[in-house]
Amino acid sequence: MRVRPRREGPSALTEGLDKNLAALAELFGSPPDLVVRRLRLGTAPHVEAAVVYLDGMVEDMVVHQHILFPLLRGGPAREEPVILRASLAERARETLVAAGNLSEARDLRRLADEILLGRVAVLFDGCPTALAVSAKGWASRAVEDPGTESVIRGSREGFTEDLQTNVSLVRRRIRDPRLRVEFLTLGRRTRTRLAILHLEGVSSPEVLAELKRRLREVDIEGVLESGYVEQYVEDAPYSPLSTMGNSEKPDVVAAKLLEGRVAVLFDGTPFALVAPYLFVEALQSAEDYYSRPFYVTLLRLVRVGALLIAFMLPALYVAVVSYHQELIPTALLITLAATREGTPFPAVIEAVAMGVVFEILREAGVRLPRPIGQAVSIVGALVIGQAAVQAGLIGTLMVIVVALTGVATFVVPALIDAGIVFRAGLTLLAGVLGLYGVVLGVLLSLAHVAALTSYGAPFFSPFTPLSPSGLLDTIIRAPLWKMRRRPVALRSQDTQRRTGRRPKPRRGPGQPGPAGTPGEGGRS
Amino acid sequence: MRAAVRHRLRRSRGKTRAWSSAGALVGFLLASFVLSASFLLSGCWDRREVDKLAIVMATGLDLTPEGDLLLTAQVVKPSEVKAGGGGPMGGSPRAVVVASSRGRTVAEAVRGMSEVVGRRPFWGQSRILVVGEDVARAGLGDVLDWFFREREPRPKTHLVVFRGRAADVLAAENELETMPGLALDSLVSLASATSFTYPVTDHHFLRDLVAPGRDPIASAVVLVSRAGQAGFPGEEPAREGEPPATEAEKETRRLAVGGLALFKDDRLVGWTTPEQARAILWMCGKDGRSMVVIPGAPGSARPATVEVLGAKPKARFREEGGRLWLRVELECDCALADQPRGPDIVNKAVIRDIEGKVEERLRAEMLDALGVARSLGIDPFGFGLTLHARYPKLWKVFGQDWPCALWEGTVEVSVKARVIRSGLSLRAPQ
Repeated sequence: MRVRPRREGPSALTEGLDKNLAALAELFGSPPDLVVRRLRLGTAPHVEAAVVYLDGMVEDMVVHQHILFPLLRGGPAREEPVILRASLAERARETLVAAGNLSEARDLRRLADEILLGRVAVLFDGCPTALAVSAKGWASRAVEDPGTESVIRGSREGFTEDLQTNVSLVRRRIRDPRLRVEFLTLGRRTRTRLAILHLEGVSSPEVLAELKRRLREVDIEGVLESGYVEQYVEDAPYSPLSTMGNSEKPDVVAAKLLEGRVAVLFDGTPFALVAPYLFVEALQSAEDYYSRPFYVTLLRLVRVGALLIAFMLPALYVAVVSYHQELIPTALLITLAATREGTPFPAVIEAVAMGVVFEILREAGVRLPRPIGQAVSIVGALVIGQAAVQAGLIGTLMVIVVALTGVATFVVPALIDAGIVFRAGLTLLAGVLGLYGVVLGVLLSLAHVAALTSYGAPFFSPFTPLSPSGLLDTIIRAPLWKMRRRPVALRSQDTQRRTGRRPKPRRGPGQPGPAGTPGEGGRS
Repeated sequence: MRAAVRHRLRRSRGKTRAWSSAGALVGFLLASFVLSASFLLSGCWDRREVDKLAIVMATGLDLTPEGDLLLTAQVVKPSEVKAGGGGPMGGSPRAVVVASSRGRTVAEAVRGMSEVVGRRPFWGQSRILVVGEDVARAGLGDVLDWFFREREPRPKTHLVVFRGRAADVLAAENELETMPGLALDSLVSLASATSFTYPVTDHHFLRDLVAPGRDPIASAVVLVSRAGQAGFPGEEPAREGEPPATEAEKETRRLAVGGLALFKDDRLVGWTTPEQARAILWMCGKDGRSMVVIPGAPGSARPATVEVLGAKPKARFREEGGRLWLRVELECDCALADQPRGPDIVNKAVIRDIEGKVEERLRAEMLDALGVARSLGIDPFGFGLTLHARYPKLWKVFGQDWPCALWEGTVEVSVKARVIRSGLSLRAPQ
């Protein structure tokens, strides 16, 4: 940003077409995919012009029909006596080029940027201004079912790698002109485009300003995925917990925007970033709001239970088996002693080793093509589960603990990575200090979680600081029409959700309800 | 922006300067030292893997002829109780090892135990402490201390006194359970169904021991021959001076619960029959069920049975001519359990008749129990405790030599029984 003004001077476009083209060729190093098409205007053959674009980044038909064809056929009217060459670009924009989205460029660097974005540069001899006409057309993935966050009921659309498509996916969900979209370019070399989305009047201006400030100050060479930027702009880069949310689903991003959050969409990745991010969001899923509240409340409880299992079960097992035998019911203790009879390692070593084996299996399954991945997991699971026990290397109960922990980990996908860190730490503490260590570890973790903030929002809200209205969407999920307030932690400008009352079904003999549809009032 | 950066830099430089000041540095070092010490110095460093433990299920205490203590432990053999349908291996008849160790004190015997067993004995799961008669007569106060002082033994361990050697109890078998210790424990715990004894715990015993005006009790266990199993456990006589059982005899005997062991202070002074036990327990306020057999309906060859569902005692004290006067009122709710050829229960008079019979029977049992206590000069009922709590003035007068003051005075007994349930049928088939 600070460098640009210095560069603009020497790289300004000149009047000579050859000179400009040579400069462009030098800048790009004349690669074979840079198409430079020189032509003369149809009605003024003495005027030379050139069309420059990158092959594969533009729609050929658009270039031919709406740019080349009008230029070759048209031109300044023959009877016009003087051709003001310097205004050729402007006249071409007004009368010749049949494209909606175009801009003018006066310096080389800017023009190169436009070409790299997939625009078509049109230069005229004698004119220091070039046109950059949008004719984007490259191979990109269609809007598909997202790989993560799959739902049974709910939208099947996921973001793609194309920024414009992603923005349109959100716009189609929030048809409000106050859905503000700002584009930004990030990455010294990749010059990746990203879009900041927020709902004017709903989102907090401070959060927005802070996010923009951080994005502006990011100094990075390349942005290939939103994770690159996340690491730069998140609040606690050294925490095992992420303080920025990400989602692949436009409906999720739309819901977050409606809550007053700010989203960043990226070119080149289907994963959008959302800030501020709160801990409870890990326990929420898109489908929670599409299903019935009672069921979802039970599901949330299951998730909390699974979360506790995923974080603490191996640690508790180790602590109880190696230190606190008096806590185990007698019959279980004897069974346990029987299964552990003759196993060579202490419980901590078993737990850690099995944890590592589980991660190996998971990693192997993730990276491989699906059919092979499944084979790996089945063989691996059999090997660990059955053979290791039969060989007397580990106790049977340990297998159950590891398997249960592993499965429970996947119940809360947002915390898989953090879970491994906490689990390992707690297990080691349990191995050294027993339950005392586990309690110590849990307290430290809680203190850490409670101390985190995300863009000014307390990470553990609505638990700490307590916000009663926020609790309606945590362990329990209240019916939508009961959730009148937006999450307090987001410091939204408009704290009240525009959620009307639920229309009551009208009762009466043979009287059809006036509202027609009895049922739940949706979010407005 | 540059200015802002510079400003921030300056601020952070300021912070560094604050850090480097000696006091803050010392504070930081001290804090980190304290924090790391809290991790490294405290906590349970004595990690003990579950498979390296000898899990003690039941503990026994006896006196050797030389006067030493003999500690007997029933240790589980986990490999013999392998769970999950272990095929033909599963459920060996005997999944425990009984080991004994000798010592002048309990602690010494406990240490010796690990030499006998070869693993570290773990007392945290010992459900039951069987005390031999000789130890109990010599005084339990001398031996119980270890069980409260040491970390592992639970204060909820059941305390059982055996009329004989505790080691014999631990060696006895039970067909249903692979672990005799558990069997004995459930035997004692199930006493609430009969009220013929009470699951007294270590803690309970200790509490009674230190309480003013109450003498401790403990549950009693007897070995009965299998042949005599049909007989009522209560009819089993106290076998004093009987020759020690031979191996063959041991094989054919099994454990049964039999009444209460009565203590004066911490010394065993006597036993009760099961009926006396339940009378004592009801008067103590230990609310338990029990079957009372009463004379049957006319025309029936068999007596009838009424189940006492619960009993509430009420003790009233008075001073009468320089002596203590006590009236124990017992109110109990009953259910008719069995009345062959009985008349229609709808009749109020019939119910009253049954109630009268129950009252008569219970009164006799209570008087019997009071007689035993009087003859031993003890107060296992805790009347003194009631006096202490409710009649402090009387306690001041009579509390000095408590049980004697009680037995010098008058004790009256009354029972009020109410039949509140009669089961599913109104009248028995005639």
